[in-house]
Amino acid sequence: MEGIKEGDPKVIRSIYKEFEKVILHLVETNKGSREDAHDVFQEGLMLMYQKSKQTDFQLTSSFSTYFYAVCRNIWSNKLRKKSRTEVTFDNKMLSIIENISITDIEENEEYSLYRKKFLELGEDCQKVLDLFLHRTGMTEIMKQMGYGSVSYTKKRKFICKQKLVQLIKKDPKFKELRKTK
Amino acid sequence: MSTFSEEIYGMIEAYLSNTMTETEVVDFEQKIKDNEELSAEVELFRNLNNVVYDKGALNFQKTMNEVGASFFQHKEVEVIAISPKIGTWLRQRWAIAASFLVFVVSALLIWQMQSGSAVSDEELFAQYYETYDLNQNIRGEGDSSNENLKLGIQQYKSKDFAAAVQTFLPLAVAKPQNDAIIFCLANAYLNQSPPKLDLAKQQFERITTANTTIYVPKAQWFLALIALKNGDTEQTEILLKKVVASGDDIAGKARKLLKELK
Repeated sequence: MEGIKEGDPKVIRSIYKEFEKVILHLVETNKGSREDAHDVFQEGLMLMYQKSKQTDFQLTSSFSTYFYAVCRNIWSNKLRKKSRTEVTFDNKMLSIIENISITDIEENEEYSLYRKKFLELGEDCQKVLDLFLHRTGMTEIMKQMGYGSVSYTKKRKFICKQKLVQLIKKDPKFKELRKTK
Repeated sequence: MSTFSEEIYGMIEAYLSNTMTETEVVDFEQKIKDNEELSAEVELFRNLNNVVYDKGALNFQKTMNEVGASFFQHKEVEVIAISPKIGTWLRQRWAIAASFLVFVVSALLIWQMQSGSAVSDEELFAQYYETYDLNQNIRGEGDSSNENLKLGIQQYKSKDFAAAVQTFLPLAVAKPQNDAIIFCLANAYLNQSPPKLDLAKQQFERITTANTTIYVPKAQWFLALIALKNGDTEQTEILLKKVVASGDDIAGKARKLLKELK
């Protein structure tokens, strides 16, 4: 968990190696695709990361058992929402991950999509939005980004935000998220 | 998909950053109430702010994207066609090379045995480790998991240990108290190539910690071998002594290994 908390690429790679086949098997044998499996894996790992940041969080079983249970529930939740099939939550699975709620899983699914789309933006756009969100003034953003005027900086910020929103709205996963809200 | 104007974007941002006047807030909240699309946009912006604000999670996502680029892909195997003539020629050369290798390895082994060099932990591990025959003791619970347990054991026996892990892991998650399943999973990890020592150790330790079933001495035996492979002789001895004291059918082997270590 320490390696996850630090975002250590070696640890992340070893988890990929260890669980790629297991998660593929879980998803592909339950009406999902490889892409679905990768989403489930990444969302599962992101949840583990978020939990690792909480000081009071403790694994209630071995890492492999816990991570598998998290992914299992993420996939069950997606299946339920897609209404491809009726899936009921396995109580034993839920008891293993009692410190992760359905709200956690759903919020994480939505945020994961937004994160991926944000990272698809160019570096300039990412930086402008990041500075703006961290309450940096327009003049300071203009200086840091080397833009010619405050009005151009405002325009850039608008264009970047608009691009991000469009990227998100174009993704079919966003439509699915909205449908189920 | 409608897009809002720059002015509306500005208003949403001002609303979310609490920089509107009281009157503006009241007006804007009324607009949100009356306009479902605007309400959804405000929610989207609020969530986007949370996402962009959390730099740690963004960096983690970035690392996952980079590391994960080569995973979950369709793997294509490159097949190289070799003509029959060249194939025969290659096979002959390979046979000569392999014979030479066998000769060199045999000579080295004989030399090592004659020179009486001490047996390393690694060699002791290789000498004592045997793939556990899961048929010996494993019993299901007479429910639906029994079929999957049988399937896992079948995969294990046909040495498809990765598939066996995939079968045992969900069972172990669904039945965390069932030592038989945990024991199967641990052994499947141990036999994977390369062996997943840490994961196997975690599972065996679950059995020894609970300390309630017939699997405890066997789990201790495998934990001792894992410790031996990791070069932790002290821990190996502690565990072996426990196995000897248990009187389990594996105790004889444990006693012998303990003697060799001393």
